[in-house]
Amino acid sequence: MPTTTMTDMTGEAIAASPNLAACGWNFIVLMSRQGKIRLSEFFSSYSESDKRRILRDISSDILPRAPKMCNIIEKGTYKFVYRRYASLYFVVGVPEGMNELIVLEQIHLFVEALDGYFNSVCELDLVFSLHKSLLILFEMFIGGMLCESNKREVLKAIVEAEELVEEMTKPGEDTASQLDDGLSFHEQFQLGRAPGRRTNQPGHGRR
Amino acid sequence: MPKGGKLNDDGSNPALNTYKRKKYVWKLVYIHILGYEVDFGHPEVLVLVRSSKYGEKNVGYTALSLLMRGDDPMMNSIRSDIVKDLTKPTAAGKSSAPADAAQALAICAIANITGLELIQSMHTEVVQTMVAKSSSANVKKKAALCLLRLARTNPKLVAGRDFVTQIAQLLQDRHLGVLTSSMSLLYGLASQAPNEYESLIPYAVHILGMLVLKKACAREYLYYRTPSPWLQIKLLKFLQLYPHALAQAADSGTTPETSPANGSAHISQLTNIISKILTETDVSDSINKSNADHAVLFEAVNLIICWGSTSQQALRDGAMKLLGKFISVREPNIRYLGLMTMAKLAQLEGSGESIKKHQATVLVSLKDADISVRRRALDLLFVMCDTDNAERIVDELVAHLVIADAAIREEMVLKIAILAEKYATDLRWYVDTILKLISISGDHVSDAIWHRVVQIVTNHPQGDLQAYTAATLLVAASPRRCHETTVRVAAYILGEFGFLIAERPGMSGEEQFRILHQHWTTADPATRAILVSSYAKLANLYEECRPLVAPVFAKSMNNVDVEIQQRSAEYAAMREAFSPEAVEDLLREMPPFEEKKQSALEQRLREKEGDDSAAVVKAARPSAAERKRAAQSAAARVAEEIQSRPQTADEGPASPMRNGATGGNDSEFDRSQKVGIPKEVIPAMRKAFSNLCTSPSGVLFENALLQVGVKHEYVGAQGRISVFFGNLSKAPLSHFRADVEERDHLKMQKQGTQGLLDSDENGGCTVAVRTQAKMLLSVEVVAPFDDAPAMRVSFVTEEGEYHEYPLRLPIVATCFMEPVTLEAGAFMQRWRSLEGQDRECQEVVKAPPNAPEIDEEYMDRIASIITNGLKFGRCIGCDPTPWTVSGAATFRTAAKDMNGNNINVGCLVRVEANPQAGAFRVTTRTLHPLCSKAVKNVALVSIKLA
Repeated sequence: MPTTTMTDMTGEAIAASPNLAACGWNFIVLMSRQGKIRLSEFFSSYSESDKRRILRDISSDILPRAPKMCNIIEKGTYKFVYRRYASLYFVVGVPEGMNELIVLEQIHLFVEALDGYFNSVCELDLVFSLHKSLLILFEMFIGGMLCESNKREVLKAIVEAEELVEEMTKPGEDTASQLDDGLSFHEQFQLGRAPGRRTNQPGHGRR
Repeated sequence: MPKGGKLNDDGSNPALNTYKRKKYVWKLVYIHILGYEVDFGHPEVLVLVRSSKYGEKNVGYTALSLLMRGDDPMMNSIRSDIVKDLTKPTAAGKSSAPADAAQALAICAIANITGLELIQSMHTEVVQTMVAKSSSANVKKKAALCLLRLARTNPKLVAGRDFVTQIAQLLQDRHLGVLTSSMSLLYGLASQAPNEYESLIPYAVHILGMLVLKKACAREYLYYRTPSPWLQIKLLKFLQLYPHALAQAADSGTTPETSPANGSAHISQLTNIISKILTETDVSDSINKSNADHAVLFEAVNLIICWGSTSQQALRDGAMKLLGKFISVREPNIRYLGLMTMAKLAQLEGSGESIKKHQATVLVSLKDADISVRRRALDLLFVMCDTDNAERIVDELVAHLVIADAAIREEMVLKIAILAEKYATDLRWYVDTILKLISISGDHVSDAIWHRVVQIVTNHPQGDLQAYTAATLLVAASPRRCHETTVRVAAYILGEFGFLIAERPGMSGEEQFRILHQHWTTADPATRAILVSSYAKLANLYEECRPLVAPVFAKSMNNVDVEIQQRSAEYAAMREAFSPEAVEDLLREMPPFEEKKQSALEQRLREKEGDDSAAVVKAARPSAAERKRAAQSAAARVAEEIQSRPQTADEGPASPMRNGATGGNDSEFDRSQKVGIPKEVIPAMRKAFSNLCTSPSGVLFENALLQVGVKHEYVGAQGRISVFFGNLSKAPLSHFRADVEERDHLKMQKQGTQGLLDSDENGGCTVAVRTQAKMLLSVEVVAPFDDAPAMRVSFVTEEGEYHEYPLRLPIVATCFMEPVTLEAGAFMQRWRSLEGQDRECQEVVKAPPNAPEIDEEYMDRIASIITNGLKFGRCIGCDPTPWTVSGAATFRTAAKDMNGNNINVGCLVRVEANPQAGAFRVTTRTLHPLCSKAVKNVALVSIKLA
């Protein structure tokens, strides 16, 4: 099936041999129940049209699934492994031959790390602190492979990095930007996003 | 594309302050994450990467790994900066927190944006960073994964034996994070070149032992009380690369030169570990713990499957038992994986029976609401299918196809078609199944599937398969609306084999045409092309069809479709352009198809599932039913060749004679090593048979082992036939049996050497070297007939080879003739009175190619054939020229008419020669059609031999 012709940066196709590919995730996409993308990272190189097809497949294949169904969907040479947390789907693309159950737990590990950082994470946290979730993702997964399974160590690394930023920034320069996601409400509105409140809204979007 | 004016303005502004630049870059990242292409603002990213401040670097590298591709020309300018970040702490010899962090960022970015150029310039630095003593654990583990990512892009870069020691060193690291990453690296590298890393198996087993047996694991790395499942998985995956590890360890244990203690110690430890995983994994309340444990468990089962028969039977049984449990649990993920793993396990020798026990459970999963589970269940059913359960599984699948949704239908149809073909013990069932597929889900039945039906039906002339298929398809195509594919198969099959059913009520040639032609207007061009060919064949066979077909051809000669146009034009012109014989030849049945090694269906399956899926392996293996069928058709082909000979093209394949000879064989096909008549003796056999038809004694069959001689004499309707079976070989032939077919028209009494006539498989007599077994037949003919009784000779040689020769006894109608001498006038009177459709038979035969010119001497020989061979009385005087020979005889039967007189049939024959053409025309006229045919056949054969 030509759905995942992974093209290397140099344009040379990576052989879709299972042995070569069985190393890690191909991509991770966080998608809301309404089909909005909250986070996406493609570890393998995909062409723009392949990416679009994958995103479309996710919303058409996964979102309508009943909760009692299994969390694996075969897509020819790769599989979707997904987990649902409240209204948010964590979808990972893995090559054939990877242990699907452990991928499910890797997703959960990532969610636990997010949870630890945001102190009970919700969808809005991810919307407003995209940069933080990306940093956590990159700290835990490199090239689609699990790098650190110790949540504490991951969070320590993130906190250390934040401290480092503060240390090296002259007082008063732009510390505010570290907490802020860089987008004003107005700008978010322009991007087609309803502005939400950063403060906790009990029961809304909580896990 | 939300490309706000503000963004564009910002991008071209070099004088941004830090805050604004970071904010701008985060916006780009955000847009990218939403799935839009971001091909602007990259210079700002580079500025951030180059910054000396960690805060800016952090943002820069994150954006870099998300937004930029390795082949971006801008990457060239940034490369040196990345290398600087990568090497700074290593070069300095000591690591500071900010430099370390920057190094980690750089590594992470390299891993995420691999491009070939980037790798070439950086892989050495990454390797150095990974093994340097000064690198922190955090950096080491990231470097290992980064290296793996590079190796995946270009396997040649990271290789070599010296690298093994470096990994071995990493594997001794106490830090579990580093271990996990190193194991990922090792697994990735080893899967590219397993041999180079084989020496590391003991390390892997040791770590696994620590985790599983001793549960030695730092508290932070316990995942829901399971010691680092991630690492366990990696280790088990790595071990799966060495399926022969067990066997090798067993070997090295017995050879003295290797150290047996070390060689097998870790292997026995490994076996302990695996059995511990199998027995101690338990269902737990927490879904996360259960998932992690089962993930490890499935990997362990995979490892056992990898080892195959080299693993202990207890392990395999344990795995089987577990999987049997898994496929019936409610948890969908476990069930899914259980089905998948069981399909893999089914490939192991000897697992078939235990898997079949779960058939009912799997069938339940086939009806699951979840497409993923259904797919796996289908796959498993496919793999577990064999001759015993094929019919039930295929019927279940067909029944399920009715309600199956579109997503899985094509796959199901393909698999059903393969199974039905592979395991059909009765090919009629196969044909029925495919027809059902077409009627239920015709759109998913690819051309390859129905082509295969045609192939199989054409290649299996035995039994009534062809007639059955023709009749079934005629019925299937009868409704006004039916699927296009049905019309195609029906058109092809009726064109080829329609004649077999033409005599049945409501299935005449005309009916066949009418039924096919009702679909003409709705058929697409490809179907119409097939229809045109079928019409041509029908018109050739049935004269009443010709006026119906002609207008169709005439109209289609102007068809837009080139193929239809060409076919119609050619078929229409054929009759004028060629002689009737040539047309006959052109429109004859197609010859059998070549048996290809891999059918088109298997090809298709391979395309869909990849080379190493369990289903593909399964499909490629021939089933018992297939082998049996192949043997059957090979044997039948030989029999066919012998039997088709004595009567020329006089009867269709549906003749009861042929069925009688081949149909009886079925029970004996379990004798696998069957030797039939070698091809090379067949021409000599035909000649011997023909000779014997007209001479009182001779040799019927001879090869290196056996000689069969026949002596026969007849008085009126009775005959005595002696058959001698001489052993020419140097060893006795055992289980020697001769089985003569009983026919209604011949009353027969058989006597023979003790045991020779046994009907029991294991009976028979033994014929010693240079001796003969003898059979004596007394026959009495009661009705006209036109064929010869079959005799099956079978025996077992000393080497245990089972030989079976289908032969025919030369008892033909002319044996029972009594010459009649007629006056010329009386002959002509009777000759004329017998003129008419079925009483007359006529055929033209060429003189043999090596024969002399036809002269009077030649004609004398023909005359002697008629008088001596055929036992006809020559009618002198009614032949005006020397080029004709006429004769008369009575065919005597023992049957009595109402008055108690024997029924006799008067027969007349006339041979006319055409010396210019070197041909003879044989005409026979008798009171009984079969007699005419029989006399004509014998005459033809004899003339050919003259």
